Amino acid sequence: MKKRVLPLLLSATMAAGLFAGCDKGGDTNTTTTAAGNSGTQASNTATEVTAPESLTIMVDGTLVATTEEGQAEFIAKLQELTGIKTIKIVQPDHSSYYDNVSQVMASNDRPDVILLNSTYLQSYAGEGILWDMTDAYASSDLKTRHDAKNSGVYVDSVRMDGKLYGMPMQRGGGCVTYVRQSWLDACGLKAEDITNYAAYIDMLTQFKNKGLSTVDDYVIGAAGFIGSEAPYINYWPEFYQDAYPTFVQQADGTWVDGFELDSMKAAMQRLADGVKNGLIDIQSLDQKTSDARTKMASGEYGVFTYWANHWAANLENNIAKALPDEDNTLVALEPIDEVGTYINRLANVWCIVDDGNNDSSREQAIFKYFIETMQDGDKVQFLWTYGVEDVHYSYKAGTVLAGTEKEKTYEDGTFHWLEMKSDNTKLYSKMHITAVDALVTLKNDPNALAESAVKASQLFTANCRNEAMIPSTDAYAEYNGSLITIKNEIIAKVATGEWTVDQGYEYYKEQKGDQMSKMIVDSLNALN
Amino acid sequence: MSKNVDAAPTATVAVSTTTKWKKIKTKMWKYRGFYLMFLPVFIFALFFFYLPMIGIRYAFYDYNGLKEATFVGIKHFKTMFTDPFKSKDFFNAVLNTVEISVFKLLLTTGFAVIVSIFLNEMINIHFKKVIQTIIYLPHFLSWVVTASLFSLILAPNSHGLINTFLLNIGVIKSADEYIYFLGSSAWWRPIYFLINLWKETGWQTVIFMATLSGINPELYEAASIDGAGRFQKMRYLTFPAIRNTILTVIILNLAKIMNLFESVWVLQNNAVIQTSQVLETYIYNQTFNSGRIPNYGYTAAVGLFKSLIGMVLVLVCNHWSKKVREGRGIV
Repeated sequence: MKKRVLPLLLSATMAAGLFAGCDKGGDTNTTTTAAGNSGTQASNTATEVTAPESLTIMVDGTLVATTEEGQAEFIAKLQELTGIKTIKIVQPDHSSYYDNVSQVMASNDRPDVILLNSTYLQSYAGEGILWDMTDAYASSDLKTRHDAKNSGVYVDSVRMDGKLYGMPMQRGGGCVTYVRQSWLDACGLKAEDITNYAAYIDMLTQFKNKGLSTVDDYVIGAAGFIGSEAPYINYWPEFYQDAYPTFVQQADGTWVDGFELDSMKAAMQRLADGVKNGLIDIQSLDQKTSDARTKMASGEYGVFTYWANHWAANLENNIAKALPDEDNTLVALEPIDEVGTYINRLANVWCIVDDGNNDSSREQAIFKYFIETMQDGDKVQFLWTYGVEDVHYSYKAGTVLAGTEKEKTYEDGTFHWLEMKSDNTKLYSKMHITAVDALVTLKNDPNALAESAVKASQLFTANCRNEAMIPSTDAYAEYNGSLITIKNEIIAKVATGEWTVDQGYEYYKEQKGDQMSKMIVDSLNALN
Repeated sequence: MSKNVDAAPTATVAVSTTTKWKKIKTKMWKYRGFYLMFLPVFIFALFFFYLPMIGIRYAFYDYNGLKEATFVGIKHFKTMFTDPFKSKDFFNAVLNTVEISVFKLLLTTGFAVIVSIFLNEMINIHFKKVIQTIIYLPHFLSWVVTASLFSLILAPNSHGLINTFLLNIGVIKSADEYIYFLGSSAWWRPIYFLINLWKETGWQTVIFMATLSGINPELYEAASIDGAGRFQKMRYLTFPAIRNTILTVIILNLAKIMNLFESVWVLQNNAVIQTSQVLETYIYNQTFNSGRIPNYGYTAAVGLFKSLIGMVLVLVCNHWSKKVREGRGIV
């Protein structure tokens, strides 16, 4: 029984810890249980630790240094800077990362350090296979560095019952809505005037009526009408507004299924209307993210909700490449009144896998030489942010993108990104940590992020709320897979016009979605 | 006395067993070269086919890959068949698997037979080879590439080749009527079968063409002398000659009908999930879609059920095969 209660308590506390972080939508002064109360490793922190001999890291595609993009050089530099003799990086395909994580963690060949999202952090910590780094962090220089930049709230947001099982290296980030400046200009519109849904729809309609899209009439699209992972709705903020398709905790602490609220019905109707009126690309149903990005670049879309970071610059570069004669400027919209705030994802965290031998010296060493150094504010953080000198970036005089319209020559001593090894028409734009989202101030930061990326990131940070965390229960694990399938089918069929909203909810009851939902809601409320 | 009576046959059996083993050993030594060549295959099969089957036991356990597995007997099988929330999806997936697989098998085999007969009738050998090469090629494309290709061709916009064609010939009146072939429950299956026809027909003709090339040309000459026309030769000579091959191909493929994943997975989307969900995609979704660490026990049970159906089909097909192929089975 104890084993079951622990993860539930941890989850519930983690959910509470999420109301910290963004400038809006939460009390930034709120902190969860103070660190340093676990005591399990307290005695070990005083012990002097040496660098681990070897380290296996499992990471998704957010580490740009893949095997094709200079991973060998990255590893060599990381080994040199940390003193860890042998570092091995396991980097499965980004889209199937968590399938691989599940398989690897179920085997006896677990990595030493692993990058996890909030769902997996919660589950694995609850199972006791992640090392509790609470005390190590409390007495570390890393905490001091976080405190110096007021970043403690982001660390606190991933605590579970006050304990820390993973370390965020940056803010979670989220999406903002980008609009082509040239399209706004063509219709005589200004981004700052798009303040509510009526103005937003009017903007889309004007774009459509003006025939600005290179294909047909639609002017906006995304990969899926609903996302496959939390926060699910972040590609369509203006259409979903206050609706959320899964479980939400109300102000009084009780849980409800957001899919059963009127706000969700209204959201689906808005999506259906958008498709019916020819504003939304119906192929959003089954296209991949890369397809949607390509359509934005090629001028099929003039409005696109996407990540508020280096992607702002990437999208502009892609437009410049596909449409060299057109203005490629993108402007990030502030959230419209009905949206209020964009959603900040819970940050992915670096976790140390506990070997379960009751001796934490290995884990202490990994914390000190890997986790701490990643945010040392100095050379190692620089490596994780910008990569390897003369492989990913350079200070030497030289010309990049030679022979293209984007050709640029840099003087000696000026920081500049180099061409990607896999595609020499593109430049690197980050390594793993996004400079503007870093939790520790970086010494000698070249501030190399494009202005548009900085602007988008700042706009997002000033206008976001944290993603809600849902505790795990047996009923949730048992039935949510089936329930998600039903909900996604309804959203897809309503959005594409195959069903009306009412038909969708009739089907929901036919499939016993309401009963599965009730079981999950009851199990969540039982935690209160 | 009774001791002696009992001891005699035991001794005889022992001697006989010893002699048998000696003979086997002698034979093995004699053919040691062959056994040595077989060894790598045996080891490969042991490690990669049989050893992983230990995982089957998880169908009888609650297991999330982290906590120690708990034995639960046939709980997961009960859930599969009787749980009011899960059994409906499960049976839908079983039905879809059988419907899609069987129809696909009959359609592609039938079409391959027709194409083979037409190819066989071609007189210009060079033209015949060009056509054969063209229709074989799609088989070598991966399903991911095939799906991307057809989502472009079938796109519900003015870039979509089919929709533009339908608009130009007046089947659809305006851009508002573009058909979303891959996003419509009504269209998904016909399109899926068409894509399969395009991709696999050519490859299936290889076997039929081999059979057709074995028909004695003198039979055709004799038929011509007897006044048989082209159609009559096809009907009374060619088709009977490949009838056994058709049955063999169907029987061999029937044994594999439960294995349907990649082609469905790459063409599936949320709007067509009810018509396209097959057992293997159901297993995948149940394993990875809950947003939590899954209970591998349930999906292992579904996988085991699928394998059992597959095994029964293999045995039934083997029985049919023996009848059709004059005593020769497939296993």
